[in-house]
Amino acid sequence: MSSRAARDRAGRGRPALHVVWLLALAALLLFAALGVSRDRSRGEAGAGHPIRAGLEPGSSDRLATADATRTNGPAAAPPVRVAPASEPAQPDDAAGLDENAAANAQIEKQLALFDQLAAQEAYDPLWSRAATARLRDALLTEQRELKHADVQCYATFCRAALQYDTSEHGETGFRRLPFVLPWPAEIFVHTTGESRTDGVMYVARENATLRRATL
Amino acid sequence: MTTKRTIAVAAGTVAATLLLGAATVLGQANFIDRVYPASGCTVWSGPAPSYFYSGIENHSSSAIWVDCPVVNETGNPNIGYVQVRDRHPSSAVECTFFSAWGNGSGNITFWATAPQASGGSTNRFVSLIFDSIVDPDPSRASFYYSCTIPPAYSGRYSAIHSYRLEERE
Repeated sequence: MSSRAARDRAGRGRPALHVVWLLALAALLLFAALGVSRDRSRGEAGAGHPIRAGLEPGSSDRLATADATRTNGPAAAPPVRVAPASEPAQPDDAAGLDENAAANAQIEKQLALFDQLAAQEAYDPLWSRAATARLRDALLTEQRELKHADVQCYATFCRAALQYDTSEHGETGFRRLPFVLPWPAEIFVHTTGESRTDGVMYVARENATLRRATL
Repeated sequence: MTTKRTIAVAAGTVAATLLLGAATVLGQANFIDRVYPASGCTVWSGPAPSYFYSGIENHSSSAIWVDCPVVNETGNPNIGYVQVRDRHPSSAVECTFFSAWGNGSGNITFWATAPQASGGSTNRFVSLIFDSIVDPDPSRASFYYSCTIPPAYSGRYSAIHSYRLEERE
């Protein structure tokens, strides 16, 4: 009787045990599948990348340390992922047009934000006047091809409407703008007109970033 | 009693598996990280460079300006560097990260980070680090590093060896 009772108890326990083991197996399969899908989406420079292992975003020191281990020869560059032939390489025309429209809307919104900030920002008498003069001098000194530089600095950024003498000078001049500023700064540049000579530049104040418009 | 113990062990195994799996999946940094040889850079002002182990050197007597293209896969650049060697006593190797967009009417719009410059003449390669690239818009713009390499100085050549960009997924 006692051995029969024990068998009964064991028999009642078995289904529960099977369910638990099935759950464990399902969990393992689920995580394995998730891991594979992430590796595929990441391409060949994925989680197993030896440099990534020691690096997280914002960690300049570790970035530099990792670099130092690779300075004695060509870097072991992970191969750039090539899309297989079955993958659609380009969006269709409609999607491309939508993307263009969205991008242009974003740019218009960004320009409108700068205009709005310029109208709203409190004038910083200590910084604005000096920054305006410094920026104008730097531009006209470093880029003699500039015909016109109308500069105005506000509290957190400056705006410079620029005009080069020729389209060739305009092309190189706009591209060199980040390197001729009197302070290291993030910039946003928008060229206008078909002549490639005109454009407007927005320059962040020292140690600041430019505000982003969101759609 | 033995059955209860077995169930407890199995339940513990399930819990541990779930926790380990969750930690593995959630803890993975979702980044795409690529390093490029500087031989892929294009000169847009100045003489042609020389090639050195798939890096580029300036052997000429004037500065050169290059654009070094980067794959924009997610539209979310995060951190990166340009590995350079500056062997000029007074001019630096200087780079900035560009995100440029050309619209239908032929105009160009771009964001550019504050430039990073090499600190002085040295035989070593150093990294110009871009540690917090703010998301640019439009997100499908073309990405590249734009750099200037100073001229040769007494037979010593400044160079860009490689560059890297890590994107958030």
